[in-house]
Amino acid sequence: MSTRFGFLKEVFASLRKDPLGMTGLVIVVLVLLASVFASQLAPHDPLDVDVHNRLQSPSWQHWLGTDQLGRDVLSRVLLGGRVALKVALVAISVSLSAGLLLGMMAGFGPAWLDRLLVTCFDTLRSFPTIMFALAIVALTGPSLNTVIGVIIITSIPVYARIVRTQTQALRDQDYILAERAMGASTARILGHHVLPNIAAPLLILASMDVPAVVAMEAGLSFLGLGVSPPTPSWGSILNDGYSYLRNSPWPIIAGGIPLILVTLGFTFFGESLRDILDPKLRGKGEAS
Amino acid sequence: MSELLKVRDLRVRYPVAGGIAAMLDRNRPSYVDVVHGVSLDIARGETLAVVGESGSGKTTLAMALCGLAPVLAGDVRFDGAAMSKARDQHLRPDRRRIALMFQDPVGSLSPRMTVRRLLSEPFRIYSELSQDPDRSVLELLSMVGLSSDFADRYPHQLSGGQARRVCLARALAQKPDLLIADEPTAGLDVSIQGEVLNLLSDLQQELGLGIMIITHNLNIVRHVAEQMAIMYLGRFVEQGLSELVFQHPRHPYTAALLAANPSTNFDVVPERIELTGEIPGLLQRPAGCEFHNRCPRVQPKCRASFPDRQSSNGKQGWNCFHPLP
Repeated sequence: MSTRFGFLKEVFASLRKDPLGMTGLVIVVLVLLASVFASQLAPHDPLDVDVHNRLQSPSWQHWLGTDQLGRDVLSRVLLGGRVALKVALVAISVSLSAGLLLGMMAGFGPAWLDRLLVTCFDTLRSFPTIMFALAIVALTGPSLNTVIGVIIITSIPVYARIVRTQTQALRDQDYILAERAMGASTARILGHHVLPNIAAPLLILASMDVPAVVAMEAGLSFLGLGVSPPTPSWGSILNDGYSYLRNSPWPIIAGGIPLILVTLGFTFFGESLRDILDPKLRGKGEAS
Repeated sequence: MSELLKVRDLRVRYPVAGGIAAMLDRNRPSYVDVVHGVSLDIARGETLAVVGESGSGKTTLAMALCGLAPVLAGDVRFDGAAMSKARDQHLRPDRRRIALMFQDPVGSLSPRMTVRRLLSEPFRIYSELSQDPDRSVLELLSMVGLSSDFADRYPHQLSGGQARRVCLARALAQKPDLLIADEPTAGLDVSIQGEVLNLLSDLQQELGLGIMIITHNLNIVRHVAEQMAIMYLGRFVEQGLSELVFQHPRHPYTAALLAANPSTNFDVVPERIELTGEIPGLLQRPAGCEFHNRCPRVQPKCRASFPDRQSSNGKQGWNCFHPLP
């Protein structure tokens, strides 16, 4: 445990020397906090309709104006962030875990298993995401869980393929052979010797995938395939605001800016995480 | 002395990757025999040195005995019991009782683990080995002459000699009966080579280990091994008591190797036998005796058939039609 803590400290120390990465981290933390405390921070009920005050510009009462039904845009953006991050975190952690398991099985297992799994990955990847989403929604109806499911199914092959390649590169390393010669079980080799050595690139990939997933949720919601009204989501805010763009651009601006911020924040953070974790870019000592 | 490892006619065959080259060249074989019929015996407390050029199959022989290479044929008995084969043709050795030290010491240590963690790995796999792993780790470190400060270092923070000692400690943690050491002195200073070898023979006396050392360094053979075997293209062309082989090599290849070995004894000027050319590729195994195209004593018969094993009173054997007198 102490080594893991030391590792975090090391990452943090390196981040402090990297202003862009630090900016990313600050944005990520702010967005996370805003989403967690969204209900406390929101000045109004995001579902509260007030048709007399529809499509208002920002005012002291409604900091980011109101939408076509007179709902407070700021409150909707805050609660929409909760939806966006829930989708991103659930989808990415599930697809990352499943991708890890399947990828290590393909990379370490016998050749027939590898071929079978890779064929499955390629089959899944050959569907265009939107088409796939449309098909699933047609079957099950639009809901947040459908969005999460679609994202999980389309991301598993991406992670699994990377894990497979990394595992294959490691399986013939001397230290893996040494463990086998010693009599370590396959589970032990994968968990204790392969996983720690492939985790870094995966963490980076996952952190850089967050904005992609948030954008995908927004896109699917924009198309009406995601969360059902009146639940706020950044995509549905954009969708609602889009029809009134000429009269009142505020909902579009308010829904678009957090999307851009999250994308930038996680990208900056992911890129500096990559630089920190890549041993070749980090002075790791004189030998090796 | 009691028999520990008994190997008869071991063959290791690897498939050769097909691809475009194989499609274009129909004569290209689809497999390669890296170990081509090796027999050896190791008793408890005894050391066998396997000597040969790069590419002669020494490392593959070690891998095969540890169940890390596919075995085509052969009978391997460890402590009296035959080793069975897994479905992928790898041998199934008793992994605790046979320990392997790899050629590359740093590369054979898991890079994200401290020495403490690496040395306790065997105790995690075989919990019966130690009641108190933490203490055992420190004991192991002192056994191989490293201070306890090393416990918290990572492999890349170790020098070659220190990493070699850690590998040895890890091998000893298994409490093995047989230790296979692949080039235990490669890349070490002469002084440290001596330390590692002395450590090996001290521990051998203390623990009664059987040791198989793989090396291309003849000087260490004389130093540590009672038995030696000369490997050429996957076969043992000569084997026997080191003393006899050194004094009186019978196979021309052995003689050439010994003659090429720099020696500090200037009183004896050995007859120089110069070898020309490289060791042939395993894919183009020569017909007859594999050594014939480099042999100074070659006769037409050598190109046609492989010579049977001849021996002098069981203490030295060789495969040659025209051995040195």
